[in-house]
Amino acid sequence: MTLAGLALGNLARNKVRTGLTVLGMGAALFLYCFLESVLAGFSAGADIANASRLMTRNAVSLVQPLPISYLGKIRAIPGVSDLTHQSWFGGNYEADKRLFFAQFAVDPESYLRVFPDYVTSPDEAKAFLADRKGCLLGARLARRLGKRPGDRVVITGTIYPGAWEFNVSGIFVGKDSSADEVRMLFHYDYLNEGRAEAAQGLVGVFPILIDDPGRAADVSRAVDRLFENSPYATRTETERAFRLGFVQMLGNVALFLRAIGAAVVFTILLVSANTMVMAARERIPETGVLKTLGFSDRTLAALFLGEALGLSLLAGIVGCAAARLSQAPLGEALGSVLQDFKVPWGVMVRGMGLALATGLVSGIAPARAAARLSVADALGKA
Amino acid sequence: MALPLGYNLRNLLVRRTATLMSMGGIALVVAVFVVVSALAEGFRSAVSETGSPENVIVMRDGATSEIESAMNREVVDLLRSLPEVGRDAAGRPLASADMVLVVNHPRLGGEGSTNVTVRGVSGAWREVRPSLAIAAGRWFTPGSEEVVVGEALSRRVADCQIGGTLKQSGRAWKVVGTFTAEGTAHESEVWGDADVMLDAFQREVYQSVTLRPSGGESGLVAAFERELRLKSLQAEREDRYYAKQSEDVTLFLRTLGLVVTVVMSIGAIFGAMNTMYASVAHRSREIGTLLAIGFGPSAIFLAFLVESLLLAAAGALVGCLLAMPVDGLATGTSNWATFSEMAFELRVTPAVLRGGLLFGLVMGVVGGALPALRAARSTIVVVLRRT
Repeated sequence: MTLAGLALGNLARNKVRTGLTVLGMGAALFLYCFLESVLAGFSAGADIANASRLMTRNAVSLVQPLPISYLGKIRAIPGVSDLTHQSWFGGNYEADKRLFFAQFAVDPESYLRVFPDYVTSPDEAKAFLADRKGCLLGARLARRLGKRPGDRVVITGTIYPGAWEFNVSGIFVGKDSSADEVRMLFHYDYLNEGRAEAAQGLVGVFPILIDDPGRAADVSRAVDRLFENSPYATRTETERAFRLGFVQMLGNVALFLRAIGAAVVFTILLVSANTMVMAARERIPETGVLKTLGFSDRTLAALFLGEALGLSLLAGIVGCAAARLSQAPLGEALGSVLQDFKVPWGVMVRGMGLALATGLVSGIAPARAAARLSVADALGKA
Repeated sequence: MALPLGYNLRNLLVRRTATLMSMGGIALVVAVFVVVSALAEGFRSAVSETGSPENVIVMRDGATSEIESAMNREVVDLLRSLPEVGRDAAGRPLASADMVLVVNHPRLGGEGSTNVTVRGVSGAWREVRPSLAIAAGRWFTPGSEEVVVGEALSRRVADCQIGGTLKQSGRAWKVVGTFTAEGTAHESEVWGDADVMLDAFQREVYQSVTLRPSGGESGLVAAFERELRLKSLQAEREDRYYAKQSEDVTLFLRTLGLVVTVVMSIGAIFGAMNTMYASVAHRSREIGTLLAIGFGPSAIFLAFLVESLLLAAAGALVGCLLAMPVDGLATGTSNWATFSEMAFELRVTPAVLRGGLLFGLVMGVVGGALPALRAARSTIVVVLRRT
């Protein structure tokens, strides 16, 4: 029998205890993955934000608009290679008001140019460009609404009153797994014609592409300086900073989530350490026997450490897999605030790392105790 | 015949390490439960208690929050002149037409920025909101570029302290006072004169009118039906409006708390079961002896269950005590409904504590039942033979 086989055999000996420990640790790891995914959801896109993309908004706040006439003025600034605009629509899905998602009015052609991250088939893109009432739905959103190209979507405006009808021209998928697939894009012209005169010609944000990411700060300053003394002053920042602004809005709640995460990690340690200590105490006599048979101190330490690692590996797999499998129902439950909840692979990898680390830590004490055990003591106790 | 309680207590004390570990697990879960519930409760009560049942908030039809609404001056004036709107002793309408705007401003201490609600108020703005009180300094002078800041906000956002100057939209707004609003959402806002602000932020529309109707909201809605120019408005009781503003984030926090505590409790229950099973195995001879001297299986089942309950109760108590200090802790997050910072205090209410204790006890019962069953099923011959 190999050493690893012996360690695994030890785990299989008390199946109830091993099962309970794996499930207990697995539950904690599930939570860890869940909390980290929630935090990741709020900073969604900050990690993959395009370094050569800038976002220009009204200096007062994101809620205040900018005139569309800025488009030409920004384009003339050296270093700007392309730009587009997007405006928050803020409507409710007529068929189910609880189902909230973001709708943006965009300039279709330039938007798809500046955001190649949203991938759609050439046919669907063409259909979208051709239909003034057309819209593109993110793949996850389309699944949630049960809509396909050719269907109709009705949105009740909260900022722009009335029932707005759209034709689904196509579905887009994110190039990267963390791209936002829970949004709807439609024609700015359609919005502009249908809204009150006072709001016409206003847009929300100008996403800008620049030639050289290294000059992002210079170009941002140049844009903001241009409009400094106008009634609509601007604030330009990198896409990453722009998206991180949403995380900052969470405020101390992010801190609370992290504190809870730490408590969870501590619980994992408690559960697994408890089990390992119990296992080691039970096996004092047989550890003595193994020593008598000639197993070295080091081998015995490795045996306990291996058992702890095996236990935590199992728990890690259970916890991370459970988190991944339950992302759909969890996403639904959190949908009121976090529209695009998912459990990223990176979080799962960190979860596995955490599991192995706690396994190692919880195995150290029993391993050392086993190595130091004197045969006389061990067998005397039997 | 049941076993005496002292037996259970002494048993827990003898196995100190195992008892403490299981208790610690339960205490942590209960503490997290209490903290998350206090967070959700603090947010909910602060936002939803903002409105008064005597007031009505009028916005454009379809708007779900003030920033989505727009009402021009003509509509606002017409609304104010309605006979359904209450009057004060001097005959002025009890109504405040508000301009509501979200501005982005750095946090105090330089850690990023946040969105702040700026509210320009007019008319009988203090009369319709009697809970407002100056905490320090004075109210702003109408027609000037002075502002007052909610006390909760002044502790969280830069330049929002008395004597500070908020630079927004090319103007310098002087902070002349801080005010309290019984801990509600208004304490997270900056208030000034509506007309000055409309001009400064190049706006032509108000966002809402808060008014006190003379005969309830139904009379007002009837007036909207009657008057063509008011057709596009909606009226809602103010307390109901603010209750709705708190819904999304409260639901989010509650869901988060529920997932966290339920899953954590599963972990802690499994941990506790482990120790209980170990304790049952360890005490097989003792169980055999108890059976031999005449205690029945049900007495033994009860004894182990009571032991588990005692452990859980102690753990839950410790957990509640651990979480108590967060009561009144000032914090803040964004209310996504208003897209701006909402400062509030965590609230550990008696209901929250009761929930925590109950939660701990349920964990004790669930974790203790199976091991207790195993203990009760022991047969004398088997357990006493194994030596």
